[in-house]
Amino acid sequence: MSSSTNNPGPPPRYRSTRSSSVFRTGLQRFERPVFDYPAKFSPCRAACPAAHDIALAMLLAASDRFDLAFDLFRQESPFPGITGRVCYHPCEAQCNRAEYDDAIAINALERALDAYGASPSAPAQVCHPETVGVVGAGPAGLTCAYHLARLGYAVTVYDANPSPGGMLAYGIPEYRLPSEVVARAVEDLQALGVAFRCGVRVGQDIPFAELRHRHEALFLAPGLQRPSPLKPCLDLPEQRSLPGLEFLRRVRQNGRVDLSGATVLVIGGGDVAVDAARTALRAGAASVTICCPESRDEMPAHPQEIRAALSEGIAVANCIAPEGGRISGSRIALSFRAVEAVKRGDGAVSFALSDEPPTDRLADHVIYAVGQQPDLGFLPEELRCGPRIECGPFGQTGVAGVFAGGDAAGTYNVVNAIGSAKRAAIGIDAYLRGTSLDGIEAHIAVGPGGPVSMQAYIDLRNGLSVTPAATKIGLGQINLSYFSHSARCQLPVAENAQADFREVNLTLQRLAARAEASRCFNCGLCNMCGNCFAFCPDSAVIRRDGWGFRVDLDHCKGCGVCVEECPRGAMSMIPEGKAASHGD
Amino acid sequence: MVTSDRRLINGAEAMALAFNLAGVRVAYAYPITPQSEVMELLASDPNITCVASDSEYNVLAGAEGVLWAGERCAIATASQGLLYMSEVMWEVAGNRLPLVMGVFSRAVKGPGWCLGAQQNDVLFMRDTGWLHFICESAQQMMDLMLIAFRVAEKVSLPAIVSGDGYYVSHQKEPVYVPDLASSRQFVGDPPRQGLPTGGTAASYGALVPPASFLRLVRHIYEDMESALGVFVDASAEFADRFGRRYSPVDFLCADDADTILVTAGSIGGTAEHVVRMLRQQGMRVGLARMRCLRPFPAAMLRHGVRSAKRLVVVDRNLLYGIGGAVAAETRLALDVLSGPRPSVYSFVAGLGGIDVTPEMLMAAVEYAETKPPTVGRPLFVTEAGVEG
Amino acid sequence: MRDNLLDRLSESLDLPAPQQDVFVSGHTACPGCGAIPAIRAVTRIIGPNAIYLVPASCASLYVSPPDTTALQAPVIHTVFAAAFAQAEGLAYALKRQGRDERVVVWAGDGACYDIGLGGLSGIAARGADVLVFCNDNEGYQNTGGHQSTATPPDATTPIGRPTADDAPATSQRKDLVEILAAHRVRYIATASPAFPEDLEAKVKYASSLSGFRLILLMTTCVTWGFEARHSMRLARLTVDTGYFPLYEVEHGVRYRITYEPPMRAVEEFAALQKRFRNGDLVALKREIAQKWEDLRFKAGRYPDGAKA
Repeated sequence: MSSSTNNPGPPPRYRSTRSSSVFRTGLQRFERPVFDYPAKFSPCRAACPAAHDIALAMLLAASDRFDLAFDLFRQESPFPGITGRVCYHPCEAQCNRAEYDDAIAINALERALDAYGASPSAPAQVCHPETVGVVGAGPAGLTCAYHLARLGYAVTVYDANPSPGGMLAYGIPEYRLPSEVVARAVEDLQALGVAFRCGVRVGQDIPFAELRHRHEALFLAPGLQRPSPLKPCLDLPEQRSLPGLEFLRRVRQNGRVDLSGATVLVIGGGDVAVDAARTALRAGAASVTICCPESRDEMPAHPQEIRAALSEGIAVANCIAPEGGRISGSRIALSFRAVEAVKRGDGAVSFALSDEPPTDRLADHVIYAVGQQPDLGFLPEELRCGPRIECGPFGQTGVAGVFAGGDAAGTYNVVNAIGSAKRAAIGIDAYLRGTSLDGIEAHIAVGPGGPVSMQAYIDLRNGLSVTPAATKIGLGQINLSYFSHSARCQLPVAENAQADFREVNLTLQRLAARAEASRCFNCGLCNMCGNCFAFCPDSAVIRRDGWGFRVDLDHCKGCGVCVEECPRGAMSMIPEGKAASHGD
Repeated sequence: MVTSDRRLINGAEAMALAFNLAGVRVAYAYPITPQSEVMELLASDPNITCVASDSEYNVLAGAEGVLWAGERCAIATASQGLLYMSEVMWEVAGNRLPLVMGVFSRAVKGPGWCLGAQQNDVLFMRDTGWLHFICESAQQMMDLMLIAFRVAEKVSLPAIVSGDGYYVSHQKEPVYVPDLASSRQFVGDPPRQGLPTGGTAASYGALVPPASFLRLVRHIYEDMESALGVFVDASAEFADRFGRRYSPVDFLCADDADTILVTAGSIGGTAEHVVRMLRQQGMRVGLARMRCLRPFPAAMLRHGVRSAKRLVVVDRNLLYGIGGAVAAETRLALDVLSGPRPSVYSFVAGLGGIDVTPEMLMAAVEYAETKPPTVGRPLFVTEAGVEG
Repeated sequence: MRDNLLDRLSESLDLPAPQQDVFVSGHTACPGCGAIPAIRAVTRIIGPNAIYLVPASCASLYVSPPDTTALQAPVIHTVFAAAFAQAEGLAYALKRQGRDERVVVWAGDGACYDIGLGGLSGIAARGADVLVFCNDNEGYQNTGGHQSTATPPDATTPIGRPTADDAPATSQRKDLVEILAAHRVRYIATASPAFPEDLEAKVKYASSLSGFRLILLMTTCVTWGFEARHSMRLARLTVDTGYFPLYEVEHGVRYRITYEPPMRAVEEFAALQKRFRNGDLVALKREIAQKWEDLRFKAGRYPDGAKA
């Protein structure tokens, strides 16, 4: 067309095509950000004796992955469905959100994980020749069996009762913990491969020495089977006066106990007393009064249990202690003296009584729950030194191969028992495998002196590197700009549940559970909100292949915006030249 | 050779027609006397998107944007408008965008508004890296515009094609208008050396390291130098097709002349008339008419005036502190000669649009033939004659 | 402690795909520059099929450090006031050629409020098919924090200001949105990199329209005199104090407020910066009050808040 070319090629313009990323702008830095959240923990986790990774579970639940959250809890304990009902939730007391508006309803959410995400255990593979015997199928025994089965051991659990559960089946009333929930948990353990020998009392049906012979290691969790005596009640006829534990057992085993129209006094200020009181009410008692030496605030029973009892019409008489008991016509009379102070120490309780003359209270029945003691008669001498079985931080007793946990070893509630059982499982595994536990707490404890994580222990044993969780995230490390106030969910309660033994507390609706879980700050956990990525002035925060992000140290100028804008303290700034604990 | 249409048009119409023949599809317009008619004509062309801009600065910037896409653009201005474009002029040349701009030169508001022809506006742009071709008639405007597209797009530098305001813009004359097909063939396709497509990492014109800056600037210098040869080639082809020949400097009766008038722009027409008249009277006078001011055809000028005794340079411009621009550049061109060279007489005439008459040119020639050459300051020629 | 667990979990979860940056690392912006998160977000949302123009500004340096480019798209660097018309011309030419790249200008407040205001007004009035981002950090920051007509009167600047004797006190910064609203352009919006969802929605909406659109971004600049790590916190405060309202204007008449700020004390914002050490914040507070009164009135004309 045209005889001369008018397209000589691109002229020499100033054009750059090389990417600016060749400039390593990170060289000018004097401090740098690290994603050190594996080294951080939320206060809820440190407060949980079972070391559940609550922050992560909340994240999963908020994403509607109750199944993954359930699995996460099950790494640390066997039955969230049970703890989600009866745990006294020390986690909630430490929740950072409490200072901002309301603590997360962690306990209710634990129950929801079980309701919406439960999956049964598959049979665990036995990969060790050694077997382990567990004495006591209460929360501690069941937990230890669970962990040991997962660690590859063949476990047999011995229990004197007709069926497993211990306090879960025979102590805690149905309206707090339905029996089918316990049954489901036991079935799951059986599916896992745990063997149960019920109706077997060690020391009677089978000698302790025999157990020692059968199993290379033992875990003793016999619980506190003997109610502490109350002298004023011992003088009363047996049909009228009963230890609380015994009362609760009878209700469970016999189905019902009829107390129609009776006036019942319950002596004691702890959970067993309150359980007994509310059970008595449901058994038909016309009037139930809890009498305890402590003031309302000092009562050892859980505040929400006391509130529930009061709302059901149970009276609570504080600061009184019985001095004597006698028959009074068709009824019994107990004389109470006012208590001025209660002193607790070394497992013993003493009162300072007032000089005022005592007053009588009349009742048809008295139930007393003033403490429990272990029944250690079946144990050899060396294990029966004190009021409890003495053991070390991983359940080690003075006898090699014998470990202990649960209330008999000093815990005082279900979740603490679970925690001690896990520690013992670790102790047993180390013992049987011949590995040392020296320095292991630093790696598997949540915070110095905190509860231990079984998952961390397993990872460590599998040769994976485990960053110690060393730093607690407080409210000060939360960037509140990214949150707005919202009230805690309403915890649903059955109507008129005091009329019978049906469960009082109900499960949260699924959407309500998700919404509540979304309120969790996820303290010290990266939930991939992406603030660090979005706000980096150097495009130096990059998505990792797995979880979270990493810092491109060639280009990060160390401005610190990412750390400042992380809503949940999942990052820290450290001086350049210092090694990161994790997260470079 | 192509037979062209012959029409009675002025330089503004010729400029607008040339843009059309070159196939521009976008125009940027801002009014300023004496070029407004160009824009009116372009705006009425249905094939052209004509954007009425808010200032000449943005006219040039807009045109620069059009060129980035590898598309041709039509712009024209004068005087104040051209100066207002200053900053962007450098950028267009630096970016090697072959924009062709038409200018009708007009005096610049210094002391006051003055709309008459004066060439200071275009000469102010000598340093910017733009090519500059200067016309003395509507026909030349038509032709040099088309040639300018060829040269600019070949060397990748923008070009001004200018003519003196009113004399070229407003006076009608018979003009041979090439037909569309031949014009398109001559001009060719626009060089699509613009931007790469989206998604390509390519940064243009950012902060440049000094060594690279030097290299880029030297490229411009060398490519500007090469433009003379390109102009000669393109003009030769133009002559073959359309029958009119142009040279960077056109000589008339110069070979045996003792005195050679040197002009740029419309004074050339008057000078031609004076030279022919004086030749009839037996005077050995000649004429050198600059067509190309950037690059300045120094070697060609030197060669053409080599045997003359004196050059009478008549500038329709005044550079404060220097004098006439063409005279200064002529002196510079002659400076390399080691042996005998013509003396240079620098005259300034026609500022502010005052007519430069044959009498004034003859007075200048007479002065040159009788008096010693000027040193330093130029001589001003008016109706009253030559003043010191 | 969870190191290994999280990576295992990531396989079971539907994690969002990593976002691809169009603006990469290695540039020379100051540590903590508040403009970069904005340009990263904008270029990410618009995507690579665009041609960018950058007039004289900090961006002239950080978009293209020596002999390189940080932007994975073509970018033209222009003289100060020339970017707007250049963008317009480019848009016309691309359209003639049937090309579909968007034309985007990334300019500072110097170019938009001052030296380029004429050119900006010109292309706005002509309805050029150009999307302009004004990266407003309240001054000529590249040269050292010299004031523009976008600088708040209470702020100290290196050039200083006329005293009350020399000139009547400057009442407040220019309101660029109002200036362009008077041009009745298709779409104007204010946005902040500290409010990424709001920014994203606005950029996406603007990209879906044709004609002249401008998004005014208030970004923080370390030349204001704050610790680098506070960059986004300050950005959030510009909005949460009510100083920089987030709103949209369509066709110059339909106003829509897109965020209700908690109206935090402006002292919180000023206390973190050196440039407000000597000011008494009176002008700032007055500007906030007047702006919101005016904005509510205008937004009230179209209470349904629907898009135009």
